[in-house]
Amino acid sequence: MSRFIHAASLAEALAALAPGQGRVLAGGTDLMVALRAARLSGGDLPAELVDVAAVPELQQLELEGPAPLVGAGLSFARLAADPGVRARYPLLAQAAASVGSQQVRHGATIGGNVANASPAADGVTALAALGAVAVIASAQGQRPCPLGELISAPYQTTLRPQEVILGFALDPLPARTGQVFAKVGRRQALSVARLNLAVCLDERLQDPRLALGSCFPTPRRLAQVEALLRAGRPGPGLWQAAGEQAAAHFTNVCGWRESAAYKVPAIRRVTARTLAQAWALLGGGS
Amino acid sequence: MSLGRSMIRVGAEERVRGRTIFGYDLERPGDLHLAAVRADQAPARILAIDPGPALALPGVLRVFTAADIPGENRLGIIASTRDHEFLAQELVRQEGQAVAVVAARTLAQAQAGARAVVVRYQPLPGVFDPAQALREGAPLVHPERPGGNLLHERRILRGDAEAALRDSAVVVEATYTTSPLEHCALELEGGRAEYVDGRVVVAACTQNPHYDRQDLSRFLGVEPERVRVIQAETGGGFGGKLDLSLQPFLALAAWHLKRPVCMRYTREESFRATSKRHPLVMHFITGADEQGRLTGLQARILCDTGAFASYGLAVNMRAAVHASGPYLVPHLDVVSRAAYTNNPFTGAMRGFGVPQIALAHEGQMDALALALGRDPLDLRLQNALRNGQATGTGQVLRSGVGLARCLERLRPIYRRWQARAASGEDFREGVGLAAMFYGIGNTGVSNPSTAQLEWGADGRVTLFTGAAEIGQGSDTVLRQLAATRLGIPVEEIDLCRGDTDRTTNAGATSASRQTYISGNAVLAAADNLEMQLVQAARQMLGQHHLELELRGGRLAALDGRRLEPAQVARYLAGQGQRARGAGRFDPNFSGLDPDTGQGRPYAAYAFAAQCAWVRVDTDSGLVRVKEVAAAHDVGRAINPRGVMGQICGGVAMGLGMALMEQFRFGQTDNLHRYHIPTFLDAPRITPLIVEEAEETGPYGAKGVGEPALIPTAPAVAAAVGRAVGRPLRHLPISLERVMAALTHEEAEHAN
Amino acid sequence: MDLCLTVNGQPISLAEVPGEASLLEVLRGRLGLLGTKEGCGVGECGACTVLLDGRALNSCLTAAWQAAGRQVTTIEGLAQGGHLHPLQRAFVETGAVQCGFCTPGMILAAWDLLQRNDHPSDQEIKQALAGNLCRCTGYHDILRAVRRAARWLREGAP
Repeated sequence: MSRFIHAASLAEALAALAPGQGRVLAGGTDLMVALRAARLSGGDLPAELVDVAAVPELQQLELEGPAPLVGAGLSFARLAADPGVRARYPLLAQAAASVGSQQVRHGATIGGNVANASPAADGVTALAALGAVAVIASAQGQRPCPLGELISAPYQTTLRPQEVILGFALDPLPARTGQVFAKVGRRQALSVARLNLAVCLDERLQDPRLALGSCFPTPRRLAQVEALLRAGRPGPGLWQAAGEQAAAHFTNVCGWRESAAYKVPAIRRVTARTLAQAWALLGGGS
Repeated sequence: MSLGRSMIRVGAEERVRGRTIFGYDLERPGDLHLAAVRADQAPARILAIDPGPALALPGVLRVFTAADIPGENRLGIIASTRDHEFLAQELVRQEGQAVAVVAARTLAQAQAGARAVVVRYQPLPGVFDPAQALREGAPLVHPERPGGNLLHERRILRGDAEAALRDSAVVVEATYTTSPLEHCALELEGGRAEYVDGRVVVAACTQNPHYDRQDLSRFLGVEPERVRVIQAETGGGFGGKLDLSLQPFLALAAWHLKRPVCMRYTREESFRATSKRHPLVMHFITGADEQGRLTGLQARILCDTGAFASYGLAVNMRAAVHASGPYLVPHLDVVSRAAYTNNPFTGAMRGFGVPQIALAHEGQMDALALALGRDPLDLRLQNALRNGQATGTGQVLRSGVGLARCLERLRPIYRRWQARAASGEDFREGVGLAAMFYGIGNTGVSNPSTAQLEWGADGRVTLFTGAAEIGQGSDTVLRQLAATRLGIPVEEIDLCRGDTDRTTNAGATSASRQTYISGNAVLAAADNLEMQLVQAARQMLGQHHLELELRGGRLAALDGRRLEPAQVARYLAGQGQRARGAGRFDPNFSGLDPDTGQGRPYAAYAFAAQCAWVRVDTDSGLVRVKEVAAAHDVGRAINPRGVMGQICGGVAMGLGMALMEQFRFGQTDNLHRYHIPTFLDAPRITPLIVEEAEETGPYGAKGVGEPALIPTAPAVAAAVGRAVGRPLRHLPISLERVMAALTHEEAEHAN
Repeated sequence: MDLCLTVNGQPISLAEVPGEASLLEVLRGRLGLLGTKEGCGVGECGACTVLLDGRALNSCLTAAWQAAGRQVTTIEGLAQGGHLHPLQRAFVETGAVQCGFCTPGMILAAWDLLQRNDHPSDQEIKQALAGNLCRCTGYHDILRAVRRAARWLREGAP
């Protein structure tokens, strides 16, 4: 049986987590599934469930200025609907809107999505494209941790039991960007991504960003594709080449598995299309 | 008059208020809870079952194994193939088969107990492919059974198919496959049992309460009178609640413990423990002459029935009988075989093999149209069965053949969509068409229904029926039929349904049979009630030759006198009698010839055609069904809103079968891995009702529950095939299959 | 410590609720509110949808203690006395109810939508209800029901 602790402040949350026997509960949408599975299989339950929904530090949303920050406790419903997020980081808003169902989005948080560390997590792919660095707090203080270090393997993180994710520092972006989040699932809603893609282009392709999920152990930015985009001339030829490059990267990393027969052409085509869409948002033709 | 008028469904208001108590909701305070121990490997021999560690846990009262079954352990709806051991005796034949059942004070204690039971297994070689299962030397799923792994073979032979194909102008040949599917009724299995005065009373969700009682009494080794089954409100079935599920466990525990017990499945357990749709492999060779007339069909069909027979025989028969599709095919050579494997057992699911076989016969029609340069709709219309023509089993259909009318209803929509289907840089659209026929009721066997109607002394009429309402709407339709025949408003009819103590057998809610068969039984009961009222009225009035009839809810005499039936009922009550009429109806059938399959398997057939308009995202392979138009010949729509609801629900289920559903044991363990269509997947649906009266139907009615689903998957497959330029013969048409078709085309271009 | 919350307007206090217990378990098992259905236990079917402070969520994915001090509305709390809520009436009248097992969750998810958007497009209705699976209706008549209820709520029921 788990003890339930409502943390009213960060200090309360960290104090409750300090013994290392607790689990952070944000929205609960992943954790409750895990708890149900544990109960059905006779597995262990955490000694404490530390509810951080009321912790003000996790609800921060700072979008303007040099150090944008998205609180880990913000729900996907909030991120999908927030006018600021939609204006400054539309790919994050789109990713948030694509998660689960309305009911799930009301509960599920961006921090929980990262902590669950699914290879197909829509929020993680979006954050990766935005260069997110997690801000992690414990009784000892705070530490920054890049997403790639935080998520170590599918469903595994380097987060310690005494720690809680406060939020995600995002890269500041140029005033004008074209951002698109694309997701392919097996049905039109309520689907786990077969692949997801977050793209952010600026007008001069100085800092193009492209992250791909559901293809690797954890969603990741594709540096080689970004380099290719920086060096190239915007247009269909470049988008195609970037698609080829993304698919080649997938094959290099994952080898030729059965799923590649689908994924290689899909990555190639969806990448090219998503880049074209993002470029079109900047007023560029296809 | 209520007939043909859209009615508000019986029980709808309780449902929107959340007051309906389903089988899943039946737990009462103090009930013991049951949890099953299920085998985690198969096939295997059970070496030992040690209940000790479970019995040592708090709250655990008892662990039941096969040794505790007082009667027969082998159950099943089809008497000749009963083989489902509800608690594995010696051999575990499929993963997930129950081995023991734990009774405890709370659900958590029962679950903990089930985990603690220690079962030692000896693994055995298994067979997981039906073709391999039929090879010499394959491991036997039921070693004691004569006939090896072949459950059933059915041939339909008519004319000389070989010669007909040889002489055909065009011959097309292809193999089609479908996947195992899960019913996914929203309500999970649940129920409760009590021991009352030496009898076991089981209340649970089910599609067939009277069958349940029969098999539960065999299971307990007692006369049927000592078992009472009450059909709880049932939240969907689709065939998944036709076989017994948890009722035997409930009955067994209540019988031994003499205490109330309840049980519920989780979605995971429901997926592991209940039947699936048969996956079929269908090899078809179809011929036509130069004018496009079908000449002959040779079909070889293989059904994987899994570890237990369940409805395998019925599915195999239906697949064979419906292989020709709703067309005039003079020469047939069809062989359908069902084989046991150690896969999860397959059984009844909406359509019993016909949704699968329709993929093949409709794929062949499209292939012929392509080969002949003909329009798919015109080719179907040319070959459509008509009144007076014979089916593949040689049955001449006198009336009720409405396929041509269905196709004509679709024609303008189909043409409009064909003209509007577009293509772009990253998408292509296609329009597809498919037709079907479906025999109402069980195949080539007696499957009667019975019903009673009682006119109470208080003036209210009660309809007694054993027909299970599972959401399809029989409560409403049967009341409408009774009200119409008795000439009273529907609201004056009360319903007593699905309680084996108070109703008689109506047969299963399956095979789209309740409107036609139970509907006719209700009309017969009304006729019988009228006769009894007339006789009683004559006695009451002392005029033994008075001409009387029931008209507008009253007894009317030729001399203009009117009599309230309630008066007559009171008169009868005074004599210790009741105004109660009983009715029975069994469709006019004949068994199929054992060698040729010729005969009259059904009394009535439903017909339908649907067309689908799809858009294929050529970058991702994702298919979206934009529109479906569904024309269904239902004979007569007793409750049009109900008919349209069935059609729309069937289309969505067919869409799932077409695009996304595939059961994989151990992988698709809950609804987040086994995908069914969501609100956003459902297309715009245009249901079209065609009424080609069936002369033997109640007011001309046939059935629609399963026909609703059957043409959808082939229509969607045809539409996707049109869009991507290649036929799609394997379901589901997944992202991967669409992408393969698209990249294949790309590769061809490159060459 | 007792778990205190308000359910359908009634203040409730419950002893000995474990931290891991879902709101669904507590509503059904402790409060006997059986209108809230369980269809999967993993947030995939929406049958367990309730309103928490007016927002629809899956009660199977919500710990009961998350509802402490908050307002829970279940299907039993929607009708005002004998009068059905317009959504309930519209579901009955359009044939949106077949087996009825998904109905309570579907109605509550629609309630949430109509509270935020009194004139939703068909696409908005479909998106809002995409987390509620129905296996009977093909969603066709549910769409008609929500449209009709939205109109009644805007214009006043006839």
